[in-house]
Amino acid sequence: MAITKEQAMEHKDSYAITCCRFEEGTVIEPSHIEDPNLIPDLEESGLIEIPEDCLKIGEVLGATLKKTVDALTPLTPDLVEGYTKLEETSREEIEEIDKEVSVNEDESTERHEKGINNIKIQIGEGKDINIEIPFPVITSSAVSSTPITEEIKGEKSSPEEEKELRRLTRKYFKIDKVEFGHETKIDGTTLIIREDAYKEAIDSQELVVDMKVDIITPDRYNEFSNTIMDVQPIATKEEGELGEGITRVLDGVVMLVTGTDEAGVQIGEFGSSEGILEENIMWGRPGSPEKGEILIKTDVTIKKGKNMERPGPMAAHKATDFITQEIREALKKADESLVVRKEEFVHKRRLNKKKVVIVKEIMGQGAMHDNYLMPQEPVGVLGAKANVDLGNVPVVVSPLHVLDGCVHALTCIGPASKETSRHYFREPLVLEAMLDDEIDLAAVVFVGSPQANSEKFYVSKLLGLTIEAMDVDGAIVTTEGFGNNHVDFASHIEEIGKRGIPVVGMTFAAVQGQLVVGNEHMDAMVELNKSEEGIENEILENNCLCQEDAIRALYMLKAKMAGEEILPPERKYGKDVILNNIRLIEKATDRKIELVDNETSLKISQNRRNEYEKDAE
Amino acid sequence: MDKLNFISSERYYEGIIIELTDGSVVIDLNGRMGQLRLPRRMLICQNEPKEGQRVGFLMTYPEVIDEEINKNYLKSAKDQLRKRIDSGNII
Repeated sequence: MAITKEQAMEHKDSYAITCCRFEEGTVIEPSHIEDPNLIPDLEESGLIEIPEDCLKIGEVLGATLKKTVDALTPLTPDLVEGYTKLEETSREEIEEIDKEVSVNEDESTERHEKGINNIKIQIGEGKDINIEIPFPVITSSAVSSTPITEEIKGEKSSPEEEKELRRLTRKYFKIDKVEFGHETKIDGTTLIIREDAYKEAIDSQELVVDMKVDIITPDRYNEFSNTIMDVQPIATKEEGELGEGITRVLDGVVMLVTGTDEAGVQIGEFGSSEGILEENIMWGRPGSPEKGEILIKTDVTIKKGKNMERPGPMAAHKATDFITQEIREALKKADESLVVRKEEFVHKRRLNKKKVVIVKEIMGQGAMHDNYLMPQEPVGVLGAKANVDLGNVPVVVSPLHVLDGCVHALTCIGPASKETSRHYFREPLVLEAMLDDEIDLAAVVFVGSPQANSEKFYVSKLLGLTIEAMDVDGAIVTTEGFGNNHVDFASHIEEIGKRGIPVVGMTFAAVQGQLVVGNEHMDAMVELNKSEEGIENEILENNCLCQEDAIRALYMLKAKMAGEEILPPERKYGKDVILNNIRLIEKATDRKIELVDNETSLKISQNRRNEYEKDAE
Repeated sequence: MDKLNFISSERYYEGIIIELTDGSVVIDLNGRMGQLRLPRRMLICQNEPKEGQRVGFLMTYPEVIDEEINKNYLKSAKDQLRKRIDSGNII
């Protein structure tokens, strides 16, 4: 396949390989050269082997062939007459940069320009990104999700540049014991659940035929459970509407929705996570339980064959929410003196900073690929509308809505990459972006992913118009899971990118979830994979967005907004690029980024237990 | 992926959608060569899919990559299959 003049200019430093057979004496033009993008494939399949002295495209153009060559011949000095040696000129270019750049041994380069109050980092090895961060970030860089109150107080920016929009306070009530009793109430640090509440929960839903409520304490983590459909915080509004005011949250206990149909088929049977709890949960992810927490597990049985129809999973969620709602009512009445800690979140606009929007693609293909949006209570059901019913169109909310549980997630494909309700409640990207005083986080946009391409592009177009109207300087688009949602994920990025807005994409891709489509705007992508093999491994939340990914995405966006070039990725997934990027961000910001464990940490504990049990026998 | 001996053995296959639910799609491979049951999210379609429509895809031959028997997985997958067949509602 021949290339055009423009391509030849762009790839002047790529290897020159002939695309067809050419006779001796031919003057080499771009149309004689094979597309450099194909070379790695050709090389991999063994069709060509590139010798060390192969000339570059920029060198051979205009030169004459000394011999007749076959198609796919790498052009070497002995085949070409009158080529221009590019090496000299390109070396000069490198040296020019070298005046400001110190090259590290691992080919990554770092640049300090102290005079201009900027640090520029260039991250090498394939997935090259450039980062530009104004100096103050170093003094206020340590960010974690807990000491938020201090963080916000510690900000130094002048008030006229900031506009506070909303404030949300979370009051935590510590629970260290959950038991059944006559009445649902909170007694000190004990949560009592009415023992026959489940009966009414069953009656409330036509499709629910049975339900069990189980209290799983840490010593019962090794028991079997049906597939985990969701992990939900238990929270209620004390003051104000969702997204502002005061929210009361139970600390140390979460709801776990599980279930099957009457025949015993798992709800959300694809990529289901039924099995021994401790082996199937990646503990401590934003969307999963923390080790040590008490799990209130509902095991819902729905009518036979309804597990794959939309109303089925919805009924299971609604029945669970019946129980949760009773706990919420009790939490509202709980005594103020039981509050153990508070968290304060402030959504402020930083008017003199780059305006950024986060776009979160959520599932909307049907059944459990759905989400309830904007309930009255955090992660509730009442008052919410399913995004499938809303037509999957973009819905704009404030970051505080997200952190106050405006998404009740039904979504499921593979447990490892599904975002549970708790994930949104503790969404790391929203938290990082809100606390980052280098950017002005304007809003979070949720957009559903419908089944058919025609609808996907419809939704995508509307997203493009929404973002256009926002006049943002940058956007981050995230998606969960993999499958046909990557079609609209790519389209969202294109719709934003073609409006000249720098955009960064975040998804699980790795080995199994490789993107099916791409476009020129998808040049800054953040990989969410954590699994060793790069696959969906059925372990709840393993491959979901974590703080480390959020940090990488934000720095990548800052780099792109600063107009830095981002080099293409490696041809195959490997975690070196990720680790390298993390290292460079750490170095530049003097901030330690904690990397999360993956499934191997679970397997180790499992093996250890087996060993131990063997010894016990 | 490195465990495969025949890494690029993908072939073009065609099949027919024989069942659609809100969450799943079942594809019968042409020539009655078996069935694939997938989440709907794995199906790319221009418009709403319908039963009876043809689908095309590339597939490689599965290779046994580990001689170990995974008993737990086997049991749970077999149980699920049996339960699904027993339910009568879903293939």
